[in-house]
Amino acid sequence: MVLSLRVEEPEGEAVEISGGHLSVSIPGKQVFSLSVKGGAGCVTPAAAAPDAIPSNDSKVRSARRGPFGRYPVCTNPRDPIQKHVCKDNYLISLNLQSAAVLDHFRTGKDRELPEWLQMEYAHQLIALEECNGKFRCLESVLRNTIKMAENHFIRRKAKGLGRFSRTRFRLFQAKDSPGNDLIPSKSSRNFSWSQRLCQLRCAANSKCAGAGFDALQHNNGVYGYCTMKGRISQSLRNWRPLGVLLVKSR
Amino acid sequence: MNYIAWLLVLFVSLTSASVPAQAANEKRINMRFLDRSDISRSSGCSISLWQTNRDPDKDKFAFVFFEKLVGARQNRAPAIIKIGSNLVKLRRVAVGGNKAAMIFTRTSFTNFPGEGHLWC
Repeated sequence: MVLSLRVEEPEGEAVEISGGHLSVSIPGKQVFSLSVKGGAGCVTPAAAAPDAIPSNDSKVRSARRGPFGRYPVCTNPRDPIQKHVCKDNYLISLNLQSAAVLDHFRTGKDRELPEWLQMEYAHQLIALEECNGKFRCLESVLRNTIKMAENHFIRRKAKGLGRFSRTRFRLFQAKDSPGNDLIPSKSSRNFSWSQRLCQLRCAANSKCAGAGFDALQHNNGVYGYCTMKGRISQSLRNWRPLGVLLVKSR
Repeated sequence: MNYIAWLLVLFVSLTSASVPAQAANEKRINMRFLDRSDISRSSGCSISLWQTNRDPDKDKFAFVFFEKLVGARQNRAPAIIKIGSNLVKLRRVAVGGNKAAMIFTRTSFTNFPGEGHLWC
């Protein structure tokens, strides 16, 4: 039997086989051929922390993750067992909006990122941390973000998420050192929340020795400075894709 | 006499028509869909293929190929297809093309010795 398949790029824990042929030959018989589609993936317990278990043995780690295993997610930078995942800050962007978000970063208009979006990212960082690696919790947080995006982004781009039953979140992780960052200071979660986020960013990076949030150093009174040792960096040019999380929005 | 001759002609014509049809059927591979009970996607890692115009979530019969990856090292269990009423176990013997995750774009399988004579 021969399989000839078109395989899409792996997305998180799943691989889609978008098309192909299956041919079976038996001596003395006509060759049987069939057009096929398919999929490959792993089903793991929903509550399992995705790849959050450290191990010096890479074989053991990859075996736990499986060939289609979930990407590593930094959910709790303060947790020492996630140290290998939480080397840097990370950012979550909605796949459908990511083009717009990426443009903001790539064109150097970092500070022009819509405030609501900036805040939402910050909210997600906190919320994801509080999920403590629980996959269902991560899904829940991201599902809320879809609702938020439907409420806000439709007005901005006239292109909603409503028709999508499954929405992809693309995760990015910084691969450079931390810098002095602007983060929202006037949020519903107040100053202490911003301070916590700043500390979180520092804790997420092994190169960060200390951090402090200064609301007085602000940009139009909206953002405060999270000051950390290192260079200024918020450009997505220095961020690498970490993986994709598929979430059912409905 | 004429009546017997007519019956004989009829018999010969019927048998001569059915023989090619039977021969054609015998030359075909009686590929079947896998039953849901034959595959287990509820745990672990697996690769499955279904007929293009079928929906595995809706159609009772859709799957034509199933391969399970087992154990901590994700070893490949024999892949299965169904021919007639028999589940045929296949062993991967060659791969080629591009690779995504654990899937190659071209793969050849053969059956285990003694379980028919399927080859590629």
